[in-house]
Amino acid sequence: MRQYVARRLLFGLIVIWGVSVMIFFLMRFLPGEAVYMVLGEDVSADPKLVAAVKARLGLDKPVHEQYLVWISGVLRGDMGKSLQTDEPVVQQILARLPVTLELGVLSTILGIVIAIPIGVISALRQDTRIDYVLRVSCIILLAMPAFWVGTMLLVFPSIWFKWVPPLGYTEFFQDPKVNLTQLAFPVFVLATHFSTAIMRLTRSSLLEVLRQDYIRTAWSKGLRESVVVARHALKNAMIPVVTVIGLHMGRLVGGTVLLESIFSLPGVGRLFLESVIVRDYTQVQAIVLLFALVFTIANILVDITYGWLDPRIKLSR
Amino acid sequence: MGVNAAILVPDLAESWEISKDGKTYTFHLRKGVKWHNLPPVNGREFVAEDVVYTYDRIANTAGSANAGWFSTLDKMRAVGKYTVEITLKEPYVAFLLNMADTYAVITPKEVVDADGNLKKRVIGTGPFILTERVSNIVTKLRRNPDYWERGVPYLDGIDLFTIPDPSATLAAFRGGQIDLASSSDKEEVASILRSNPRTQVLRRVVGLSWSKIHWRTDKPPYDNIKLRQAFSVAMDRQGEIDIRFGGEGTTVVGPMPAYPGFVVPLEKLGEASKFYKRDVKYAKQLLAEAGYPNGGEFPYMVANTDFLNRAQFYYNSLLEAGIKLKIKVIDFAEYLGTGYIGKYEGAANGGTNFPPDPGEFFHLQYHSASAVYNQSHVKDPLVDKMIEEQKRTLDPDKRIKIIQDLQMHLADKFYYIALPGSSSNRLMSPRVRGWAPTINQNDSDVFRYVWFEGEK
Repeated sequence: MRQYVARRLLFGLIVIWGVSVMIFFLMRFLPGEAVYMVLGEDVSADPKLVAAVKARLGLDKPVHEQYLVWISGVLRGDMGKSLQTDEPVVQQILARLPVTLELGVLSTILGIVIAIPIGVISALRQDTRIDYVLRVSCIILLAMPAFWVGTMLLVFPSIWFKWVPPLGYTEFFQDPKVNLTQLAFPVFVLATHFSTAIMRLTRSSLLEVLRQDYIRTAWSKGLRESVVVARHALKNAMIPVVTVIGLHMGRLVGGTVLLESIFSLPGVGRLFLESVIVRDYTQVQAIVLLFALVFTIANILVDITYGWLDPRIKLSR
Repeated sequence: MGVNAAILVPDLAESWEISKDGKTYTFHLRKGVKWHNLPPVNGREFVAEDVVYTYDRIANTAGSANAGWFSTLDKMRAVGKYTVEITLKEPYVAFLLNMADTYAVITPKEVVDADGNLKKRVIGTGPFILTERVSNIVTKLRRNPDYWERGVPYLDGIDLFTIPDPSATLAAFRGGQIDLASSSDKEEVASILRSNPRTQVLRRVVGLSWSKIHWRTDKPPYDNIKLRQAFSVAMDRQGEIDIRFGGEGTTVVGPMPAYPGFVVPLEKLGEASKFYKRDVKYAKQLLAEAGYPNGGEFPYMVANTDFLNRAQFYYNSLLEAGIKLKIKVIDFAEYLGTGYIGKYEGAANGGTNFPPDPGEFFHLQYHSASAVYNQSHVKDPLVDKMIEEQKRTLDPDKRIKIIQDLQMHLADKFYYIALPGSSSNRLMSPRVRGWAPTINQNDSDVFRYVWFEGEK
């Protein structure tokens, strides 16, 4: 087991390294030079000034050299300084992380809590009215873009009730009520989107499993439905679902970028968007590496969960 | 000095004199002004040395963006605690206006000595003290109890939120979370007034705007004056105002923003005024005279912000006259590195900055020696001559005359085509009183005299 995790971590590191190369070069291929975003529109772009700023930021070196400078810093634990603020990028990320973390965690939990029971009900009551209602609602939710739903959730209460969630972000431990009010809508939107994919998969996966011989055996033993499902069917049905949950964490990341912007939450997703727009290379790179890390760890956890769900899957080869 | 409606208002400088030859400026500073009570300045008195320090820093730091303000500086000194004397080598008419610019704000030496720059701390002498700033999220200001003007500010504090989504901003305004918002959309404003009729709306038609098309007037195809004139005649400026701005806006006429006191109105432009009225037939004729009897395709680069919407709008009116735009859309960041600094081919549109003084404006945009901001690469010796002349002219009436002559000369050349200015609406919650804007392109707010009365 330990060997397995170690091997997965190694692959994970290679993936993260690949991401680092990709994002580094991708950002620099974006048209528009970072140095002009640093100087701003008001400043006269005196060529001497431009050259001086470029040199200070290390942007005058050839690209592969810049990469080596940066990656060697990362390996030593130094993620670099923001091109815009000159402060270490880690600072900004850490300051904004609680928001995105809370958003992500709550959305994931809520998404799973919604999706799995509904998927199970849908499967057990296949082709009945409730199955159709649930499946159609699922598709409707999936079809509505997250940013649109989010915006509607802001605009209509402001018109009907003259109410919006309090601006900004109050920490949970400071004032839980305010905190949850601020996050309720974005979490709702993210969770519903997250859950739609899982719901359908839960349903189809469970249906598959329910057709298996050993389930038939369980029925013929005279066991109650709840026991058959909970004790025998569910675990096996969850294997593909868990995979998808891991993969969909990526979508969650994209979702936080959108929703943090709409709901004015000071999170990492919003920081990412702002940094790309102003070509703050170092900031973008740091955030992308963070996302890649989270994604990799999530999927390693998923793989570990397999072993627990189905002991037949040998984790060590 | 504060700037409002292009009139200089005494602020830190209580009064000032200019010598007869226009070369020496003497500023008499207000006594008893204190810096904000924050380390490392700790509320000490503001003195003439601070002014000298600030201007010296602007003039002499390597890479200083506004060093040009002091290009004619001869000497500068503090006379005692409250007088600053500045002598120039030759008269520079825009000098006072430059001193009133946002970037001429007086800065404390202690901060620069301690931090090496002004990026970490903001310490000034103004009515509000910066207490918290999270970049791109929120800026918090609190009342300065030691402000020199007695009794103000009335507000205890201001929180400025950066809200990325415009719908979210208006939702927050409706929900009573914020007291000030803006909107250019007539429908939106009407909708807000319906939900709360007590909302205050300040409708401003932006007269001073300079959103322009610039092009390489030194190369084909845009070196052809008839082609440029054809563009102007074919464009439907009033149409844009009617359709995109809900009928409220100004057709910015001519080669200069509408600086009050200096601008030549359309009626007085004489022969050239015919180029500012839409006339498809005449446009086709001009196009033929330019060598395109069957119309043509012309390159046009645009930044993908609101400028893109404008380009898409004008595409149709230009097409009717036979001008087909080959639109290339680029990122705003890319525009800043190319079109904005004059490094591009063809035509482009983006960027709206301009200085408070018309003379400075002409110098930056039209003078052949202006390296960066002369985006159209204008090389007109008569224009150069007139720009240099007005810079030295001390008599304000004579100077106005030169600037008006400049406009007359440029009116039919179309080195730039200015697009119409839109209207903007400042929305205020019912309790806000005493708010006023400053007339600059940043649409800054003056919070000094704001107070609340009644409920939100």
